[in-house]
Amino acid sequence: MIFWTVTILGVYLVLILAIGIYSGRDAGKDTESFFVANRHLNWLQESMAVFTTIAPAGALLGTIGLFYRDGGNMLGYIIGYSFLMPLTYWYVGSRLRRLGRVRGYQTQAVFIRDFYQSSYLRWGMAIVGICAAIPYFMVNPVALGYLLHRYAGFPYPAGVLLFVVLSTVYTLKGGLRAVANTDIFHGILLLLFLLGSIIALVIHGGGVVHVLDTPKATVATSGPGLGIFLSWMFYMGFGACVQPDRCFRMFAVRDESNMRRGVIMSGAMVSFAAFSYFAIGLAVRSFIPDIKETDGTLAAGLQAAAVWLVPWFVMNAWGGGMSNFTSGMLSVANIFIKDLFEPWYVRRRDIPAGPKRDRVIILAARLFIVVMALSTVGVCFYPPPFIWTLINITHGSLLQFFPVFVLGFMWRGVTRLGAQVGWTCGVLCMMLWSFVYKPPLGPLAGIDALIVNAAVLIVVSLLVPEKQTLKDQREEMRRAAVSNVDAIPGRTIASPVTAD
Amino acid sequence: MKLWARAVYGLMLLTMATLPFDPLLNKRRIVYLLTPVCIALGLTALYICTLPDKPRRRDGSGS
Repeated sequence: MIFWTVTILGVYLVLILAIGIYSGRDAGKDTESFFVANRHLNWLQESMAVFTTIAPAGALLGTIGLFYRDGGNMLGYIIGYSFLMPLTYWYVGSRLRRLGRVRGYQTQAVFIRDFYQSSYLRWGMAIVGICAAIPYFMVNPVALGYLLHRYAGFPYPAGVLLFVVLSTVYTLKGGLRAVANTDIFHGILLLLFLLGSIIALVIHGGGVVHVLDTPKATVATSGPGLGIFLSWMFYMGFGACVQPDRCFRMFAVRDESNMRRGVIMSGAMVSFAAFSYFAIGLAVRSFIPDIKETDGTLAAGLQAAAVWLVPWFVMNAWGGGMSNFTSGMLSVANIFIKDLFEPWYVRRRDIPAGPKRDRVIILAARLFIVVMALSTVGVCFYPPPFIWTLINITHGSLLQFFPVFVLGFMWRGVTRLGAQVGWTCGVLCMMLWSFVYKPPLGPLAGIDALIVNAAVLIVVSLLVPEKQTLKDQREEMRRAAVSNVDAIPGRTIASPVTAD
Repeated sequence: MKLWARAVYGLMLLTMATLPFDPLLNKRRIVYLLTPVCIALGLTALYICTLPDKPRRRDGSGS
């Protein structure tokens, strides 16, 4: 098994490197080509990028373990990704894509600043975006280093270094285009692997009827089980459209048609992946009912039922990890450069737009990525004990932007003060329910805080009046967000059409 | 057509979101087999929901 694991992974990594470097030949000219691939991603690149970022190594390890432990209560995860995620991603994503094309946005933070005329929300989005993504993508090499050590006997430090160096090389070379093209390769292999795993494990578990014939296959009608069901549904459904590593691709999609196909395809693929976690969790439970370390559920099941799939498991875990890691690095570098470095540099040096400025900006972006890669290596060798708490808190803080985006587009009555106070209350409530008290409604404090956030946003917006000029500016952006921007060359605001 | 698709999508979402409150669910585990069907129908409806409206003539008579 060691031989096959090393061989399959080795071939895979060589192919990934070749695809990444070949795809990114002309990506270093400016930030448009590096971070948003000249706004020319097609539906396959878009959907595979979203799919592989949502289904990383952590999903094959941790999420399948959650389905094994909580069974049917985790169906909320499937519903969130199948129904809510595509809808919210389309609603927010299609609008941000159009505005990005018209006004040149590459990050959500700049859009928030313009939409609400609020530097407070802009800095909140940029800082939380960076803080959320860094620990999240940095844990990938830790898990994959251990995985390679366990199944191939590879020394842990060497595995970590191999992962970080390869991922960083093709990200530096090709930016988003390289990441998106390697994601297609990752995604196809991951879909095939999940299909093979379901078939092998369900057959080993005695067939579909036998696998489903367990109390774990039911959803709780009250108590903590129902809390898990509802919390995961909204957490997954509302989170994807505000997390930077997923949604900075919104700005890069070529046109309306590709955006639509991309959203539907990513919804279909993520639905399949989520359903396969459910089937795999129940199937493994049917023949190994007492796994304590649930992160190893899939590996344990494959070792019992189809040991020939273990090398493919290691390879796909690496693929998912690399996809998540590279998109995380790129999104953080994008936020750092577009929201922090470039405004500061332009103000300080007063250099006009042109090749000279582009060269410096791209150099800074690449240096920042290298610094992050080195920091990741440090985290892998000295992992801080609070890293998972940090990830949960920062993800919950990002989720608090959901009403800011959705209500902002949907409701003309929303105000700047309402958005600022709502978001602040959401973040404070999440801290309170993470550190002092238990969340009142479910296991995920971010969802409980989101309810408070939305309620405060609505109440403050209704009670406190706002200047008409601010409302008019926002209304103009709403109109631009539903305009047919693809039909008109250049960055001019077109006449409104009903796009959705 | 779009209104019809939105209704189907909403119905699918509602059906899935109310799973724990369905008294038959915990007795009929076969319901889980319907989950992929629901998802497929929901995604198809979403696709139709997101299609742009056809441009209308100035006299309002449709295309």
